[in-house]
Amino acid sequence: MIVRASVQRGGPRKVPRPFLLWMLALALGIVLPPGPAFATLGATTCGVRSIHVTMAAPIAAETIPMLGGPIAEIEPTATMQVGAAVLVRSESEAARSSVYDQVLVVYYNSTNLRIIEASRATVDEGREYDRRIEQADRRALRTGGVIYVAAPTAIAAEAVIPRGFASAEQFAQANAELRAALEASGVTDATIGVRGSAVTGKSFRTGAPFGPASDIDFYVESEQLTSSLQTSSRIPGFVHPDRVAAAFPELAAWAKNWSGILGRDVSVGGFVPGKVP
Amino acid sequence: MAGDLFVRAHAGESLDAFAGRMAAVFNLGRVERRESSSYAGEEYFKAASLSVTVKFARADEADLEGYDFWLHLQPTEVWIENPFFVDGLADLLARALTLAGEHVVRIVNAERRDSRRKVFYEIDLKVPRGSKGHVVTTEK
Repeated sequence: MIVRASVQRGGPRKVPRPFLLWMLALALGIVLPPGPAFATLGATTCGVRSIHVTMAAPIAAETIPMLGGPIAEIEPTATMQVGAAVLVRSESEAARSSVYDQVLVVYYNSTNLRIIEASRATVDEGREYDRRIEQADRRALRTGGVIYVAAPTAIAAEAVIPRGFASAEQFAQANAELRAALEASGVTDATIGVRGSAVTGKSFRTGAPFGPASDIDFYVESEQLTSSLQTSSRIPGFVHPDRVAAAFPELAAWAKNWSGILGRDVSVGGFVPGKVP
Repeated sequence: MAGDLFVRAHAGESLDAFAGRMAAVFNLGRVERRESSSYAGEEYFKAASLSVTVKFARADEADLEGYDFWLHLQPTEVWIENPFFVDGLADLLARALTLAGEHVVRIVNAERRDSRRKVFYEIDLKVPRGSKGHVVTTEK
């Protein structure tokens, strides 16, 4: 069973394709900051039942006119960390720097409120992005912008992370390293998630609780990853982790490393885009 | 860098029993049961020997009828330069299993949709046991 990220009030939603949106942003002439840090996080579904967005303070629509509504209305994907607190640019600098030692700079399309891309940054870097967008190109304010998401140190209660991980920080680290391994493998269109009992808490087949014998099953939804690989007869569009490992040594190395760190088998399967159950 | 064999089950044989039987055939040590949503029946068994990890699972191949169990080989914690080594090992095990009376097929490049090949194994009773040609292969 796969559980995807969603806001509490809504059902599961389709995760956007960051790369395509990124290309769209380029085509529209939207100014986006360059540099490798911009692409380090990408869209990650986290495979959680829901994401509880805890705001530092109630945020009214008029506070963020360019969003046109409360931040919770934004489809979270996973560029927002699980259980992350959210602070928008209109909050005071003092509050931002005193509460948050790090931010995720999230670029979104203000027309459809879809997140284009995100990257981890320091507060100072976030301010610089603010300044660059405001000064360099006003179009960015119409078609994109910056919001701030708290670093894991500021994560509020009710965070949901896959079982087997000690903390949200550790899960974020695993995701970041998997993203790096994918990019080293030439896979840039990936959406990452976790499925199975690490997310649901129990075996779908037997109902047995997640335990020492349970693996952590990551998946990557990607055309680039799956286009030439054999898919399962049992799960449409699914590429078994052993197939992925055989074709992508960098992903196999990531899985071995994290299996050692977590003391249980960690694997990466693949899904043809649109086939994640 | 993997080897993939598919073996026909004995009548009514469970995956648990198959893994135990294979472990006995190859003198594997401890066989561990694992749970994962990636495997048919959400479970598989694994053992390690001679720097090779062996996984036993239910087969999940769209183009392979009649072979119930999957035997997957991969290096344990090591990187090897020759990616064909493990497949060669799979060929050895396939021949040994065939000699033991099992129905075996090996899939070469099992992960690749367009270049995978199936190698079927049979015994030629006219050839002395263990000599060249006793176990013959047919590619499809």
